[in-house]
Amino acid sequence: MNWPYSHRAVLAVLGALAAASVFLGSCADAPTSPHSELGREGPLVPSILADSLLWHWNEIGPATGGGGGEPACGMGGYGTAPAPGSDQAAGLNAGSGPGTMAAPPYECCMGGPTNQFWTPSCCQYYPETCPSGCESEPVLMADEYENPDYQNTLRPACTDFKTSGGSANFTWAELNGHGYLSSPPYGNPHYDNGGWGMINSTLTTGLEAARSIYNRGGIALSGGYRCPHGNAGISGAVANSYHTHGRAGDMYSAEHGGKNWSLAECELLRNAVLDSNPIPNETLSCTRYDDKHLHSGW
Amino acid sequence: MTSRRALYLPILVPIVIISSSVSAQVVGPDPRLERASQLLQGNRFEQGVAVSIIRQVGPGNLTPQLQERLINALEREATLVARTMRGEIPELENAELIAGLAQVVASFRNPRAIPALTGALGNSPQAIHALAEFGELAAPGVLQVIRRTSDGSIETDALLTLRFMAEGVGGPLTAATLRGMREVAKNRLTSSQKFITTVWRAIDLAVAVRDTELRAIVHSLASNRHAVLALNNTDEDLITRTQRKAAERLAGVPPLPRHVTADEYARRWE
Repeated sequence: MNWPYSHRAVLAVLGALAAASVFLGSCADAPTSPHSELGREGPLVPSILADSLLWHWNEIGPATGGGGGEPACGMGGYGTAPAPGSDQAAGLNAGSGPGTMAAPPYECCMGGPTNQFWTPSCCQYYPETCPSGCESEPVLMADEYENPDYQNTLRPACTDFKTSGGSANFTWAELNGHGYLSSPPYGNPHYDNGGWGMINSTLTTGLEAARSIYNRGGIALSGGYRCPHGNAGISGAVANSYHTHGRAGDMYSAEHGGKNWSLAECELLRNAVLDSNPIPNETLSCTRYDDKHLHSGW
Repeated sequence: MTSRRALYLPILVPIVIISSSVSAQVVGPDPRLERASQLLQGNRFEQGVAVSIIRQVGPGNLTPQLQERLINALEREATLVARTMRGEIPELENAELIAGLAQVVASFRNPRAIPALTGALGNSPQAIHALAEFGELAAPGVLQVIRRTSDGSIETDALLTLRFMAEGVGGPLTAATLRGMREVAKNRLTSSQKFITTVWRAIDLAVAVRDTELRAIVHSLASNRHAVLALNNTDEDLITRTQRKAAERLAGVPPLPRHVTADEYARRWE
């Protein structure tokens, strides 16, 4: 069939538009809340890229005015996928391709089986974009250690954080939870989001040894693991404390006075800590703190 | 071929030598340590970060200048801590700083660090073990601490340090030092003590100095409950434990803790 030129032209335009829509995706049915369950799924990226990737978008900042709307995540035409969170991905660079938009600042979240690019906020709202083997909460916890505000030198992997553990006489909750604190700020708010924490085995080994040598009942922990953010919220806490490494505990005697224990009782427990194996790296004086807790780290 | 080798070797060899030396010069000081050195002069928060960086880098890479700065920082901190413990100034933020500084300084084996480490007694297990290794050099300072302090933690740490010295950790001791040790042990085993833990550490020291009179005192504690009561009016459990400790020491059961060398401690850094 020999179609007229005009018809072929129309068909060509329609075809181009269809192709463009594959790259741009549809905005019509985007949810109003950018932090909805799944967000808007962007179009599948063409096979010129290494993986077939699903894109989500995430609003990570306040609106700054201007036109546009949701970002055109997963835009083609680059040859390689723009990194999530990049201006390129959000189409903020001039000339970055179709569907460029201005504000508000978005980030593009890239998912896929071999995803090596992620951001904590992407992982929080789109768990499929999290690093392999990790849920969003430990990813956020690991990211805190990278925050320069907290000046922490430890770099735990997201897989270093757990939801269970402890030892014969020290529960996971005692080691990672609220301790003696009955109101915020807590040293580890992540415990309330699924029981997440991080404990080095030297701490539990040292605590068990000290408890055994002390031999006057239990040891009550008023502080164990603290995430960097939680640690920063505690008055007088040291940046990069052994608490943030899961290696320190603040303690009292459970059965001889608790927080109102005598100096003599504290000296008994401190004596036991010094005699423990492994020998502690840190044990402060019983008179070091106004609230009379005994701090030790292994 | 021989003539070709003769032609190229004089050209190639110098090139190899020069490039090796250039690459060696490219490897400069660790930038982390430079940052730590600057942070040491900052506020308490920054000093704590400096200590953490140094713990990460490890003990073997510190320049003499950085070691000196750390020793000075520990001296300053020990002075401040002593003032807080006497109630002269409010509780300090970053209370763990002294422990971190002492942990690092203890690894230097530098006699210049003795006063700083002595000031850290009561707040650093490493200070105990490191001072013990200095032996006679550190003994007078530790004896002075015991005679002046009323803090239970400082006193027990100092007694433990002297016990290690008496066991020979830091080499032979002078007659004067041994006399001082005997005097300190006897005082704490024949007069009322605030803390039973002081008595326990004094028992260990008394047996370690191998003095006949002190051994007789320890024997009295082991066999006479009233002798223990006269030292510290405490509960039955602690009286029993005191007598048991005394008996064990006389029977040759070694006390806890064992001494840990500075090298062994340094291997336990971050």
